[in-house]
Amino acid sequence: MRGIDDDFVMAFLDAQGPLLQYIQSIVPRLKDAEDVLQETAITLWEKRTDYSPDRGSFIAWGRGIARFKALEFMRKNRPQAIFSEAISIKLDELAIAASEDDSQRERQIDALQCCIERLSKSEQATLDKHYRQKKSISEIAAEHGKGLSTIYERLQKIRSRLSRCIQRNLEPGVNPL
Amino acid sequence: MIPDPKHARFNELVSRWCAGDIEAHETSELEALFTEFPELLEEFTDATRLNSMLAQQYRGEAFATKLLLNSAAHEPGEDDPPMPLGQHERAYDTQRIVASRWALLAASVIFVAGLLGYGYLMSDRGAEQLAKNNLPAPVEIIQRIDCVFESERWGVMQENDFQIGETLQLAEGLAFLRFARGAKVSIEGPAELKILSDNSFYLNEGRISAVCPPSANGFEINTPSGKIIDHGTEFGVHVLANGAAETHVFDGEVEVYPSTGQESFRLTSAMAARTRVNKKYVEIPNNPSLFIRVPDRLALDAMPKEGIAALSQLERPRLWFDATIGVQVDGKDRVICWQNMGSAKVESNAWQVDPGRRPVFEPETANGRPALRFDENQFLATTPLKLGNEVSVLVVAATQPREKNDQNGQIINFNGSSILVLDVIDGPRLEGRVYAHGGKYKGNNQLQSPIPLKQGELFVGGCRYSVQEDLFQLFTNGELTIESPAAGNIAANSSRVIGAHRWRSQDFYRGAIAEIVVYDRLLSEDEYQLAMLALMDKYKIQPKLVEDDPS
Repeated sequence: MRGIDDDFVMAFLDAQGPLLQYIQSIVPRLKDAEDVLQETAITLWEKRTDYSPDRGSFIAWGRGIARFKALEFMRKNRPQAIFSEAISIKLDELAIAASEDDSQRERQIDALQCCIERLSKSEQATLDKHYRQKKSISEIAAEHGKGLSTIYERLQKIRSRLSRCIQRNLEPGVNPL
Repeated sequence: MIPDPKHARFNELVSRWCAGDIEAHETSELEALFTEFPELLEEFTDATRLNSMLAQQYRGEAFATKLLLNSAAHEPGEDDPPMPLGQHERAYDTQRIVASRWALLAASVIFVAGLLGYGYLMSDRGAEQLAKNNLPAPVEIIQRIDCVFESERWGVMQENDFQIGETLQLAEGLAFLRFARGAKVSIEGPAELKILSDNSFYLNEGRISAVCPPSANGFEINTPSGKIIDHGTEFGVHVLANGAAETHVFDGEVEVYPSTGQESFRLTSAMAARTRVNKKYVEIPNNPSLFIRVPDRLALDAMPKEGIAALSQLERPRLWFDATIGVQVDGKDRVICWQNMGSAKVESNAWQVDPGRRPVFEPETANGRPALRFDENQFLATTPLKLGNEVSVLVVAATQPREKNDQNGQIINFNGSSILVLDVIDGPRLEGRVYAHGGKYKGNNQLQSPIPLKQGELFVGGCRYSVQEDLFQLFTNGELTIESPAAGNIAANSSRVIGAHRWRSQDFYRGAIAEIVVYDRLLSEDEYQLAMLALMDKYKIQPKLVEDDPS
């Protein structure tokens, strides 16, 4: 028989992806965001008896704590990257909307894999260097003999292309796989 | 409409934010752009969402799995006393429980780890400390084949013993591991794995195959997208860069636990499935040829009964490759491994890790018998083997016209300080050479058969070499064709190369090789003749070489 602890763990497993994505809308670096998610997980675990589905979805509950933990982390470690409250609220609304639909998220991940394969080899290599090999922008710029701005812009253009590609793939009738 | 320069600047600032490199004044600049062009808020959200997805995609690990990997839950602590034997079984039972409810407990580990001191456990330093617990090695490397370990690129010698918690990064080549409970694992570079116990590991990336005897029942492989538990079997696992893991069962049965928390499922012989990070698993076609399998030691009763095997006067050679048995091929019939049937204590099989350099297996090319086809770009290399200054060598081969301008096509290169080589030069003629780097015999000391071979026709050739008897003789199809005094010591403990120069970049052989036999002593003339005739009989080779020598 499953108890409250098992239910909690299952709910957390389902929520960890969307929560991490939400945290990264405030804490950009993955490693930092994972630290925040860990802190969030511990707090959620300690407060697990407080949670009831009547109070809303588990993700929404987790997001409230995650936001608090994320802002705490940023204030302590990267205050230069915190937006004003007015902008933060607007961005938060958009980020919540983006992480709300978990089934959509799964399709997005499917589509992302497909869209990455459609990028040029050189674009794929840039992503690989930055995200897998964890190279800094300055390292990538040095390797390519380009300026920092060029690499920053290039990465953002790739992300924009991927975003458009994912949207196209999510249109009805399109199977990304 | 946002002017291009402003959009370009926005792109740069967003990227700086996503990389965590943004400065305070740049954040203010970004805010100003949001105020001026509110539609950029959505673009920014898209960018952070993609940044998160890409980071997770390329990381390839589910968060819970990563914590499981880095947690102490499966690893003994620094101050833990050695586990008494009786407790081992209980621990094993616990592992089984963990296996059956893995998805739940994996996540529980997160919280336990958090309460115990998350920062320490997450750090590499923690893992290293755990590794230094002076336990007997639960895992050891038993063979290295053309392999480069990541640490060795930086001058750090990779040891053969591994402790729990240690990570193995194989940049290139192939290595075989033996776990203390009996499982044997082949690993193809590039690959990264972490030892979790004497019967489990975490495969972060790369391709492995495993053979598990009954003592290793329950052998576990954790991957970013799930966990595979053996139930007495042979299987392969390939973890892709995005964390997906393909499991192909060659024989027996495994249970797969997807990290998504889905129900576990069983795979039996000829089945395969792909588990994916945050997605449902899918069944895929089984394809064992994708993997380099752990070769079993060839059973004596499985060996051919003809040829030299029929000669009771002769012992088993040290090196003995016969294309009839022990050839492992990939999906294109290219030879990955040619197993040594000989008596060498070390399993001196001949290998080719690079798919582009593998000879092709042809089932009937040697007068109805199998042979390996080399096409001037392929070779095999044995694991290092010690041979002395007295050897007797026999090869069954057929040569084809060569297209490259190298001096010769090498059948076998003994790769020592002074090198014995059997090759074919234009003519074509069989050649035996000892190349000495220095001393009295410096340079090439070569014997060239005066009798040409016939292109495409199978022949038995070879040599007898002895420093003690001061003898170097070359034979073809039962005849001694030429001889000279020996040209110095050829003893070496090295990898022998089949089909190319020892540098592996030139003098490639073109033609078929069906059998190679190397005795680590000088056979008597009678014994050598017997061996040659036995091989000629086996391969239906007539004594006469060619009708006439056109030259």
